[in-house]
Amino acid sequence: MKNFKRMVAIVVTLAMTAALLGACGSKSKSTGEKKGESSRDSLVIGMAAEISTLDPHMHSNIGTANLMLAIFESLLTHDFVTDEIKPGLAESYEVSEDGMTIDMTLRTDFKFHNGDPVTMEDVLYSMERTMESAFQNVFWDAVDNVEAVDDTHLRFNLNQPDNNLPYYIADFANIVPKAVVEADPDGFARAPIGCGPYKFVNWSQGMQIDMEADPNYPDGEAPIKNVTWRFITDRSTALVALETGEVDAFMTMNGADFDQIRNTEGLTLKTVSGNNTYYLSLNMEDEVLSNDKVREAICLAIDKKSVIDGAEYGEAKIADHGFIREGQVGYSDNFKEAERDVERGKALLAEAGYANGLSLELKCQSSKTTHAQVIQANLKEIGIDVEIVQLENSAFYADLENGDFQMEFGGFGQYTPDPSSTFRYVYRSDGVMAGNYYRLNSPEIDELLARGEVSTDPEERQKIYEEVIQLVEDAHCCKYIYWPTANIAHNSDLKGVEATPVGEYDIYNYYW
Amino acid sequence: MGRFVLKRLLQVIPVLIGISIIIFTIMQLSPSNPARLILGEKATEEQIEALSAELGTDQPAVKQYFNYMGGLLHGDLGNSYRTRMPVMDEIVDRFPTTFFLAILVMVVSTAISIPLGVLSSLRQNSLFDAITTIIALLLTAMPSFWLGLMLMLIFAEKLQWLPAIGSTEFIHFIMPTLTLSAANIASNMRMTRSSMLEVIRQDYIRTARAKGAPEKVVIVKHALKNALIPVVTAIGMNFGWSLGGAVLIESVFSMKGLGTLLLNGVRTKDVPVVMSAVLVTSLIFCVVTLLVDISYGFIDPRIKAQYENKR
Repeated sequence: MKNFKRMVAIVVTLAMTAALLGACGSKSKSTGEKKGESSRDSLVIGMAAEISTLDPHMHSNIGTANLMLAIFESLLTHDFVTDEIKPGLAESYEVSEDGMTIDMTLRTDFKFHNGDPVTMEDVLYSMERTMESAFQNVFWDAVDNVEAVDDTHLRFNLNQPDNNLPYYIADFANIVPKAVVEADPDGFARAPIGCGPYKFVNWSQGMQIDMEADPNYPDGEAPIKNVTWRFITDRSTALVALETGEVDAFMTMNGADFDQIRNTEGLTLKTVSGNNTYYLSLNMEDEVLSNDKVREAICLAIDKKSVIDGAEYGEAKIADHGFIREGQVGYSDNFKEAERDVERGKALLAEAGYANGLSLELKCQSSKTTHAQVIQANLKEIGIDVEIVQLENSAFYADLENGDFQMEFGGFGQYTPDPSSTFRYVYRSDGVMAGNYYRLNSPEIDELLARGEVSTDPEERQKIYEEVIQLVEDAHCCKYIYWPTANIAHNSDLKGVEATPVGEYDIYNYYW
Repeated sequence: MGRFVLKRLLQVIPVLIGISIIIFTIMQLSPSNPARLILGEKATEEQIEALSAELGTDQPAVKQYFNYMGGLLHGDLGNSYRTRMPVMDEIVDRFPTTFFLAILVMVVSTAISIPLGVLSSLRQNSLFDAITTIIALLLTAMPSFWLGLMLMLIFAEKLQWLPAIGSTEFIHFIMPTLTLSAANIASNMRMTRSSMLEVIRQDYIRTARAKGAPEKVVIVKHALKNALIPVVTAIGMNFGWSLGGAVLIESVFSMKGLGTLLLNGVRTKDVPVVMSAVLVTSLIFCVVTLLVDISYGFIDPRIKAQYENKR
């Protein structure tokens, strides 16, 4: 009897232990693994520009994409630090030899934040949506269609090779749940559902957006559980908020504040050369500036370093290769840019008939007045009197589009590291509205660019773009001055933060 | 009195219509295309045309105006060009913050300026008067956004007593209120002082004193009450000024109010947002002006009789 009781006791104990272990086991399965640990579970990250929608297909602003990066996933992932393309929802991708098809294999372990699995139907729907979007359809000119070879194999059929496609796919073609979007597209833009590392929680218009780590994210739950994106338009206020700890990180601080941030204990400033390029444009259709000698003289008078020191607090890099950075297609050590030469500038002006000087107008945005003043001083040295006209953004761009200017100082950002994405806007003669403000009209350059866009031979492309860059330099349509510094300031205890040239920050990597 | 109020309320309508025409015209004259601002500089002509058609901005200006005003009559303030969300929702969401700020500013500046103004008038040309005059000049001269930033640097950054940003709790309103009150205090105080000085010299004040009334009664019941008319006018006007000043201050302190809504709307040429925000603000100001005018009736029986005689 005693033995029987003991037996029962042992069996019951074992059964209870088994049940307990079983319960523990299933609990840990449902919470999922974490990517890493974090000593604090909340983060407040600030930015100056407020976004107008959380619908990933209704924007074309890479800055806005920061939030999309957290909530959504794309077929591919763009590593903003190295500019590499990595797998995303697609675990592999292959471009055919002739560049006319791209094949991808989808992962099957992704789920949307509402629990629904990510299916081929959602992927096809999302691709169709971005290709029809007024904000994004321009990226997909090379794509004829996207088809499902089978449930997990996707194929892009192109009408011409396109070296920019992987970047556009990674940055803009986020995957959305078809059923949810079709049911209420407006509601979706305000309360989105994606399959990225963070779930949307709340949007207080104009103030902040709250997100929460998704515990079921296949690659591991994000280390920091709660993230708040805070919009602060005034950068002086942002600096104070950083110092008081009301904000843990802020993107794009003013160059004027760099020293203060560096000298503040508890704050760290990370910088890297940004992907914007700032330059002086000369309207080639203007009566005076249509004379190549005048334009060349102006280009020779610009002192790039003085603009950086005088207007960018010394915190920018000299643009010594136009739009192209080292390592990108088109970069060449053989590129010849004329060095500053005031005497030769004066001589050229005299040859052009302006030995007694010349008056020109320089338009700029109100945020770039100091830069304009330095340029004004540079040009005074060769006898050109510059009148500065500063305009509010929309008026400025309106004048550029209409050709209603002589000289203008402004910037343009690369969309992808491949030159074709930028050059189609800034050098093609049919791209006036979007970036060819100086009205460059060269059949030779147009032809080279057309070839470069469709070529799949890296060597051929390198030659083509080297030639384009040199032709543009010799056309004297503009003078490239500097590449500004992209930066992010943050609480020193926050780890995993890196500055990126394009201004995109992957909070999935952050932890305290 | 009732008829007077009704008549004044009806007068608000042509005022608002006039404002709507002026604001709409100014927005139309601004040289940019809302579709272009939304789509960015890399957008194509076709994309801009398509979005303009969707927003209705490709239609003639007059037609757009009547579309907006027609919607207004049905209580529809239109949809923001940028977010496509109903402007009414945004305004209802943000209105309390701005209104609360303006009321706080009015209460604080009145509570400080009237006593100071009265005391200055009684101690005319004394050291107290000189000091308050200098302070008033300083407060008027300071740009509000600079003052706001200075307060933020001192109280938020250095002393860490107050939060720098936000508008969700009462504590967030302290620095913005002080900032906006500064210039109000200065002007109300000067107005009170000069009004009081005029009244004190009147015969009826001498009579009251001669009759042996206590000084406090003379000052408050007889002098101040008569001096209040121009002061109350100034307070009303300053309330309107505060609503405008809120635009800058809300931006500095990152507050969720009508001010930041209006600022963003102007930047992106978001016509429905700008029109609605300005009209709502104007309506508030008209109502406050009306309340100020009604209050005259309570301060001055002669005016009350006038209102009532207009039967």
